Amino acid sequence: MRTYAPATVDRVLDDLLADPSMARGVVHHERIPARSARTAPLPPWLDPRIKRGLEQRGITSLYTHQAEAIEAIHAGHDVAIVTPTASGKSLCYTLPVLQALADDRSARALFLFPTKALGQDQVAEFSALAALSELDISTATYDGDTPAPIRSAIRTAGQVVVTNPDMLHAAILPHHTKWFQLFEQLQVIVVDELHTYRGVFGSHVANVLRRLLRLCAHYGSKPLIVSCSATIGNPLELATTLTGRTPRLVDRNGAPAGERHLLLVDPPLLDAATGARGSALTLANRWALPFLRAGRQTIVFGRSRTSVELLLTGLRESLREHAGPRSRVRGYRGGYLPTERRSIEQGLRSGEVLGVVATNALELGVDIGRLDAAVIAGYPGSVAGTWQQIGRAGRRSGVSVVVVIASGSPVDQYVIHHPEYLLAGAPEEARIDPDNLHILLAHLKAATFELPFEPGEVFGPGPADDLLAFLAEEHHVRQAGDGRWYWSSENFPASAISLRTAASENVVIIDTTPDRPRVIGEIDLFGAQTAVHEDAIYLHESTQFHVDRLDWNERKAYVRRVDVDHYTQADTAVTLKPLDVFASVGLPGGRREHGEVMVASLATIYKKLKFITNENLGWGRIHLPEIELQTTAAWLTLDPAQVTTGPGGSWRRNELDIGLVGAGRALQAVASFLLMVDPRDLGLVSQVRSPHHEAPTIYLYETVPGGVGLAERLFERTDELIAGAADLIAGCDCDSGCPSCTGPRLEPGIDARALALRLLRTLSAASPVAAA
Amino acid sequence: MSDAAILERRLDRFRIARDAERGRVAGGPRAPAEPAWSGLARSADTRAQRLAQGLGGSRIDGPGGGHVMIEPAPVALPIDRDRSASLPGHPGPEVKLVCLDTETTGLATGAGTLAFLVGLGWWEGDLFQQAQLLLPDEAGEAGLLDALAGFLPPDAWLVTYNGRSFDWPLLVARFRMNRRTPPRLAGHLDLLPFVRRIFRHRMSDARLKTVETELLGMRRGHDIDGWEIPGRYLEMLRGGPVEPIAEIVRHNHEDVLSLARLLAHMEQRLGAISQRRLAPAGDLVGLARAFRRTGRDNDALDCLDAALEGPPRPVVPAVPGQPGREGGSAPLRRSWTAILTTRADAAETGRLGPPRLDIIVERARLLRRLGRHREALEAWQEVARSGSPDAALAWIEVAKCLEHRERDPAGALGACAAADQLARRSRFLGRPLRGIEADLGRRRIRLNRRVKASGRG
Repeated sequence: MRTYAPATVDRVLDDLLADPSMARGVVHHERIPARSARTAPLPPWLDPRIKRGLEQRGITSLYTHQAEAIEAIHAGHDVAIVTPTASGKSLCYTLPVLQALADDRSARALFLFPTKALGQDQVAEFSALAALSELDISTATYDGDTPAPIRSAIRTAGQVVVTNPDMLHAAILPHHTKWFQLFEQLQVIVVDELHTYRGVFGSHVANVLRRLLRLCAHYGSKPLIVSCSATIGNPLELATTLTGRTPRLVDRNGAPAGERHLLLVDPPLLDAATGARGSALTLANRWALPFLRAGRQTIVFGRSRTSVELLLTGLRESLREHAGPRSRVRGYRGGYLPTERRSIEQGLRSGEVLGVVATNALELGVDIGRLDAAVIAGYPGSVAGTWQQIGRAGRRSGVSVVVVIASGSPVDQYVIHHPEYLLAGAPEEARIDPDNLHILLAHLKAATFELPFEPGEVFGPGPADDLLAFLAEEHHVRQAGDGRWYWSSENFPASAISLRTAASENVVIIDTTPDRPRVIGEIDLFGAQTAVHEDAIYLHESTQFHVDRLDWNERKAYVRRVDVDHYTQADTAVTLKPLDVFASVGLPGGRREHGEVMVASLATIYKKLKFITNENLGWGRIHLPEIELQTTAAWLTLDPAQVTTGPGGSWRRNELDIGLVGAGRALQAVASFLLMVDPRDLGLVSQVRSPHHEAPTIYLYETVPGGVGLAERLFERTDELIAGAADLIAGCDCDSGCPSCTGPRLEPGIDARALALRLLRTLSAASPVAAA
Repeated sequence: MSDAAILERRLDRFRIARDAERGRVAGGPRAPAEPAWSGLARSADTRAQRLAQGLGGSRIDGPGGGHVMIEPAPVALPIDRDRSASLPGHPGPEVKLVCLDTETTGLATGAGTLAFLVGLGWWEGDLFQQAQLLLPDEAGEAGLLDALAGFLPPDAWLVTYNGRSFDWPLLVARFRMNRRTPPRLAGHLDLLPFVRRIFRHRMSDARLKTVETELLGMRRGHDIDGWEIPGRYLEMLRGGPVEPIAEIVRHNHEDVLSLARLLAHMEQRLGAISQRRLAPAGDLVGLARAFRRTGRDNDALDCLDAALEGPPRPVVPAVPGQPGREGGSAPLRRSWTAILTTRADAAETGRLGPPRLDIIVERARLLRRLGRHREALEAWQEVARSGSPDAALAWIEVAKCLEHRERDPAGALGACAAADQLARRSRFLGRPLRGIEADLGRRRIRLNRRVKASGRG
């Protein structure tokens, strides 16, 4: 048999679907028809030099969404652009910025990207277009790698400054007097990859933008904000919360696309009693191989560095067995050197590289051209992320294929059996809470350092005076004789704030692998007890680290790079007590509420679990003090009357316990899906008889101190949440509860599925249909 | 419930949690912070009043409560500006010099660090005049900055200690924060780099205080430590005592005075050529470098000549516990090679070795730059024959001179052989001189060819 037998994408797909062992796993096959381009002419006001530049790029007209965005920006509106990957989003802001600079050489623009690599790609592209337009524009990246002598040149002369939120927060805003030329003339702020600014990070970035706009006002500039996002459920809301202003939404995509097949694949259930499933990695290998053999450019996405290595080894072995040129399939993930990455990207564009196995390091807008097929091993964690990976396959014309393979996790299972979520508009939402007190106060300090506050001056939700008075009690700020609030400490507040964590007190994670140990991250205390306890396997940018030592008093975790086949999972004993109820609404079978809670958590033991199979390899004890967390939560309470007289008769105590846990697990999975968060960002506590409510209660609390707005939204979307959880459980093909729906079995002989379903249906008063 | 109301309740609980954590008893939400700012304004006023009284200064009215100006009595501190102007980087005698030193609320140079005390000093004839501008409250900053600008005429030069990277950028930031154009300066003479270059070799560090004790031979009475300053000032703003500010003001006053003394010291010791030649060799080497940086190569050479030729000079004013580096007692820590070469050299000249050889190397380079190749050759030869660590390098320089200037390829080859011998010995001792070995390889091939060619010719 020849290793490579060129064939069309259609042909390979037909062959695959003709194989019953492959076709069996396909739970959904969607053919997305080709779409032709909708275009609009270049705007008449566009500088002729820019027109010529575009023409040299082969651009003589715009897609309709580009034209719409550009006109709105030109008219002076904030704009939020939401279109799929590779639809030419960046042109929406590069053209107006070029035009502004062509009109007025003293104009300035600031581009914000969440990562350094992305910023560098955009600088190259922007500069190239500026050069073609024969505009002499100084564009510069200002990040941690920028050499000191160049920094001062950028400060005074950089017309387009490209940076990231961390740099803006710690290096630019606190030193704004050195950047006064930028702040005085700032006309456009670009916030690209908007959807990545969610959760704690997004809540911080919203405050960084508040500080930025405050300084702009001080210097007398009124910049527009242009944001770009992948498809999410609430782009306008996110952009509004993040920037504090209401932009115009541009979301009617005019870019063309070729025909695309989307296949959702569920690995077969191996054991209905335990819920064990086939491996997503093995399946991914089998789906990808035929495309590679046919000479079709294919990308395979794994969720972690380890799965990438496993996939890569598997594919190379399969191809080498038949003497294939193994270097045509390459790995691509965090930890690779930039030059390595560039050569792979180049190889993909030229066709020299046939296949790539990647982590989500390739998820964002790095340009690799378009490929014929994408195989996604494991749901990437969000619909938006999935579409970004899907977007890697799909030529402007011609057929492409995308295969999404689920793992056994409840979130994966939920998504794979609800293709409508992937296909018809995303229901998931990016949530942030810029008014989280920990975050807000931290940035208020930084803002006071940057510029004194006028009495009554608004920062975020309202006048900042009360908050400033609070900071004054701690001697961070002081109200001076003129009533203004001044920074009043020797410290430099920005250096104490990490944009990735909410609490001020964090455990610093130190990698001792290199000769000179370096800090690789920070984690709040609450997260630390389960993520960096001694002997934990800590994952950072898809790299595994072993925690050698956790110095709790010093708040330092010493880790070492390792390559192991397992991960660790910590168990905690959690107690929860509500402190305040913000809102309370009745449900047919109980109540839904949200508010502030105090969570006390004690990490007890950890388990070592094998990748893929989740086989238990051993366990150990964790010796750490109990940690208290004040945060927000949403909870569901069952009407006590239902316990005795509800549909299906009265509940026995152990049944109620299992029903609450099972329903809670499913609710947690669906909640993490709806709000685009890691399931670990939401904690679960169920109480058969809550001391506070004197009724059975399921709490979903935010693991970030103070919360980032997830709980409030869960409260608002309770109906969807209950319906989704019921769906997930009902749709599972296990016998009586499994890790993919209600969680691992608690007690043999009790049908957790049926109990959880009954509970959910009682709450929502849906007709109590027996589980399938 | 409105967002603001929820935030307020959460802030109350936040406060309770914080207070509980601190071990304080907190029964409930605390009473709101001190009401209204009229009380605070009064206290700012009181502060200004008491500071002015206590420090013998005057209140200057202005926006936000104004500031306090202190004018210490002028002191006689003659300076010969002609001689001063002969030093590298110093302005001409007609230029007004304004010494400046600030006290700040922190060391971070970001926008939130305040210069709450600005000390200024200038000459009127032989008298050194001073003025200090002190902020009794943040609100008075704009007025203080306007007053400061009045002390800095556009044709004046600023004299500071590390002011190039700290005091002046910080003041520029303060002007910008207050939406004011920072004053233009005709020039800025930062004395820290001079101290580092010229005197640091015989000082324990380069702080201004050390300049006073180890260079100017004086000692301050009780003085506040720099790190205490921000805390004391911030504490006063919060209602603490004003008395500790007096010490800060005195400290600042001394600092500005020391700038003037240092200028005068430099002018007296190094300004006149005849006097300069008596300076410690190390100072002269540093001064030579300073001259070279400003393109004054002949002055630099003169310094190096003086450093080599001058009579045995007195030991540098002794610092307790620190033996002088010149003449007399041996330095405490010396490297092994330094000891070796010192012995070799000392036998020859009766004076200290390593600095001397270093000076000769530096002088040889300077001579080459000046195009005085014959003298450069002699200098290199002296180093080469010393057997010092630089000897191999010096032999190569000798070879270059002989080949290109003296047209003596055979002699050059001989120099290469000497360098080669040293390189071999160094390699044998486990310290291969790779750069020199590579250079020698190429050089000897070329020289051999030339020697042969000339032999045939």
